[in-house]
Amino acid sequence: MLAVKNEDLDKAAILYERYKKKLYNFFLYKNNGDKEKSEDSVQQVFYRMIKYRQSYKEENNFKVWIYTIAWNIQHQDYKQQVKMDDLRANYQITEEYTPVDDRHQAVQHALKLLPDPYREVLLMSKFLGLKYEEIAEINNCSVGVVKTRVFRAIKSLREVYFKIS
Amino acid sequence: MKREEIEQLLADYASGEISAINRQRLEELFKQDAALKEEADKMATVWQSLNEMEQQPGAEADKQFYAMLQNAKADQRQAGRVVQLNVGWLKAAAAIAACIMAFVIGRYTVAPAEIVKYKMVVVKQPAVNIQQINKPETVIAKAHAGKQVTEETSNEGSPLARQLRSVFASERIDAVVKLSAKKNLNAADLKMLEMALSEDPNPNVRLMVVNSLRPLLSKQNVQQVLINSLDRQGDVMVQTSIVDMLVAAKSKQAIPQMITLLDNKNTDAMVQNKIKDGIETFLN
Repeated sequence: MLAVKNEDLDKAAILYERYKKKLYNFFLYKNNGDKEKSEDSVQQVFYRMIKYRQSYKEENNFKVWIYTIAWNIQHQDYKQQVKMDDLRANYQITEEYTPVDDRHQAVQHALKLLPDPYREVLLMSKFLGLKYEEIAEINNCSVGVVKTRVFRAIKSLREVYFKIS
Repeated sequence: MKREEIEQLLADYASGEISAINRQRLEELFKQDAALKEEADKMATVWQSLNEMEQQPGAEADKQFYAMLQNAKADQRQAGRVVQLNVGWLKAAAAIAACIMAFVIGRYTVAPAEIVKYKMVVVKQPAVNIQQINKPETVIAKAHAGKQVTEETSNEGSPLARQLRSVFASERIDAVVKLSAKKNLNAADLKMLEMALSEDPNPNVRLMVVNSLRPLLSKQNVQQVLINSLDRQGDVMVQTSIVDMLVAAKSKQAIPQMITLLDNKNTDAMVQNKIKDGIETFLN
């Protein structure tokens, strides 16, 4: 990232190849499996990474820095989603939940039902590859709390996963 | 061991990020509690199942990213060019500013060159001895003329010669009077008088010379002295006196000099009339 900061933009491609899958899956679970939206979010992350490359500092942890960008994008998307939901409510558009028998979709649904703190640490750990210490730093909590949340998130998923199985 | 601590160990176990010490502790717990072992394995399975669920972004995403990267690089090059242009402009501005500063600093730090005014000072001096002016000729003349030359140059350092070079006109006039009082005026004396008549800046001195030569007017060499000095005179009184004397002596050799003086537009009308009358006298 320091090379990118020093105007060697070709190095941004290396970072993209290294992190695109992790970020994509992170957004995929955040966006309830919406692939197109997740791909756009990944583009947004790298667009901002290049645009704001001069704000990156040597002492920064790149994974934490990129997660912060991803979280900001997701947060903005969430606000837009709320607005869209309000519009849909005005026009009385109703959506029905269709039961799924696919295991992946079931796990995704289970993830969606998880409390935010549990789902967040699970996604950060599993898909962004952040260590528990890094997650603790981001969430401003102890490593023990992060581990407990990860345990409970997996436990909840386990129930759904084995119920379907 | 507290339940909370066990949960953290299970989280480490499920994610595979468990240290060797913790793994050993957990395995000891598994030996005591088989259900715990089953729970941990199920959690690990779920964790692994998430791996299987991982997907790759589509090729379209890659295409969009690289297009975006190319745009960013193009912007970067353009920005670099703008900076380069700005730098070029700044260089030119800096050069101009440096020149102006150098001029201003130089203007106020270097002492201005002194303004030198040349003033022409004319010092009126008595006539210089002809031997001093034409020294080389005098030397040649010495070699060929022998005694006579020795006689001529012998008066060079005489008191009268020095007096004729005095800065005071009265002393020069006195010297002329003394020369004219001599019974036998030799060539050297005549030469000194000729020099005084031709070169002395004071007309009174020259008039005195003319007057001193009047008794010797019959001599050819005296007439020649007057003729030679005629075209050098600027004073009307001196010119008139010389013309009168040459006409009185009926010196025809003086006609060319008189005509020259007559043709000169600056010659005074009275002098011109004198010359005309004189030439008519010669012709009659």
